[in-house]
Amino acid sequence: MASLIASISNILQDIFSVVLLLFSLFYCFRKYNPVYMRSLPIYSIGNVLANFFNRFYPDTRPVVNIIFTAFELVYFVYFLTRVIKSGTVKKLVWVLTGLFLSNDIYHVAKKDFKENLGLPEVYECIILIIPCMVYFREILLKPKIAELRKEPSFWMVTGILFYFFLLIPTLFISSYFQYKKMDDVAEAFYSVNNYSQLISYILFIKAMRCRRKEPF
Amino acid sequence: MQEKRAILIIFVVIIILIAILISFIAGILFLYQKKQHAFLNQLEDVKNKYEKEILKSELEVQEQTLKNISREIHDNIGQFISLAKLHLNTIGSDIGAKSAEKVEYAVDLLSKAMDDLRDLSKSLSLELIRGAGLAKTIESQVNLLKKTEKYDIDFEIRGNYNYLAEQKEIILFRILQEAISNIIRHAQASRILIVLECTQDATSMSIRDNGKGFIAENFLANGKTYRHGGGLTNMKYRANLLDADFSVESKPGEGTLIRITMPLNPENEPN
Repeated sequence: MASLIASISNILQDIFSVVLLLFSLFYCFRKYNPVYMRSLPIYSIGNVLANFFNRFYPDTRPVVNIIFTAFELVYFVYFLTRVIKSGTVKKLVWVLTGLFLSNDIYHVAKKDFKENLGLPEVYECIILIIPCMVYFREILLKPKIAELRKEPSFWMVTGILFYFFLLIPTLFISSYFQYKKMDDVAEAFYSVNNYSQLISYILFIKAMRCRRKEPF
Repeated sequence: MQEKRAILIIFVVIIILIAILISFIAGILFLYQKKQHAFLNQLEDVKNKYEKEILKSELEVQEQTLKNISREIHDNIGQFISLAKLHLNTIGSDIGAKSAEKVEYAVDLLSKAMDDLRDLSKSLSLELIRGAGLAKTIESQVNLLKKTEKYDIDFEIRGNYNYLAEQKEIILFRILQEAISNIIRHAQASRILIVLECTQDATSMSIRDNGKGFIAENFLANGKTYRHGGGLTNMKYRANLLDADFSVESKPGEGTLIRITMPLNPENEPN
């Protein structure tokens, strides 16, 4: 039963990543979408490729995970630094990303591909949560966006924050079950991460479909 | 058994997560709307203050110009007319009877021109309003109009008239002048009634005429001026400067009523 939940979540994630790719290709280039939305198809393609390799070439999983985590981090950092205004936070986030990538390059150079209990993901989450919180702080301090519900960056940042905020407890709890030798339960619990990713995809699709209103 | 419990926990966790997400989005949207409302109000206040400052400066420049014109009329043109009169009077009996009659007629015309210029100078100048206050200045304006014998004009003061701050009195008087100017130029009216009403909380001034009127609804639709509403717009701007309500009631053939109601803050008014 536990592995069934995990399998369903994996299948749903595959389907939704393709749906996200299609939506991003159709919607991201609309003339009234902000420029930063036009990079979303790149993320969607990377996402579909990572899922494809994980599903059909399971042996490549550790390498794919390292590469995709780095790619995902760089993409979201690029996106978030486009929507926040604080120069200090932008610099800090890029420095942390640089450190993260240096660590990745070091492991790849040493051909050390073993999965180390999701610690890089936790580090990635921390890097990404900071600019998300700064974004919300900034929009609440200077509420200049004409209609927040029609602002793509709001839905994108909410999706990013939601997914990465939940990833940390999910990783810790599933690691705990792994430690207790309850691999099925650990896998099922890790699938919460997949479901939260589905929700964030829905929020990204919502972002793409927004007809933005000009700020006043 | 343990696995079933874990699965149940996963379901509960997912439901809780979705609930948290929805609450988060709703919370942010609500907070944002609240902040935005406050921000917009602040922005509007700043904009209003800025507009008032600009208008105030414009009026100050205008008042200074009127003062200069008034002084010019009184000191310069008035002096020339007086000199011309003096010269004409010295011609005396050196000329024939027919020419003497013409000279006398010219002197009369110059005297009338002098009187009119003096009245004009008075109405442009702020000395009267500064010395005698708004009510007296309106009375003087009414007397000027009576002299023309074109209008049946009345002025009433209801309640106890208290002096207002000088700037306010000047602005109210300029609104009255604009209204009278509109009546003379457009209204084709025969009767004008000016009422200055004073209560503890507000001072209001109304100007009513029995002229041809117009469709008041078309005036200042969405805050923008309707065709020939330049004078009305000026009055409205000036009323804004006083934080006063400005209203225009008019229908074709039924005359026009302009009313300015200014709330009073006793702390800001002279005793």
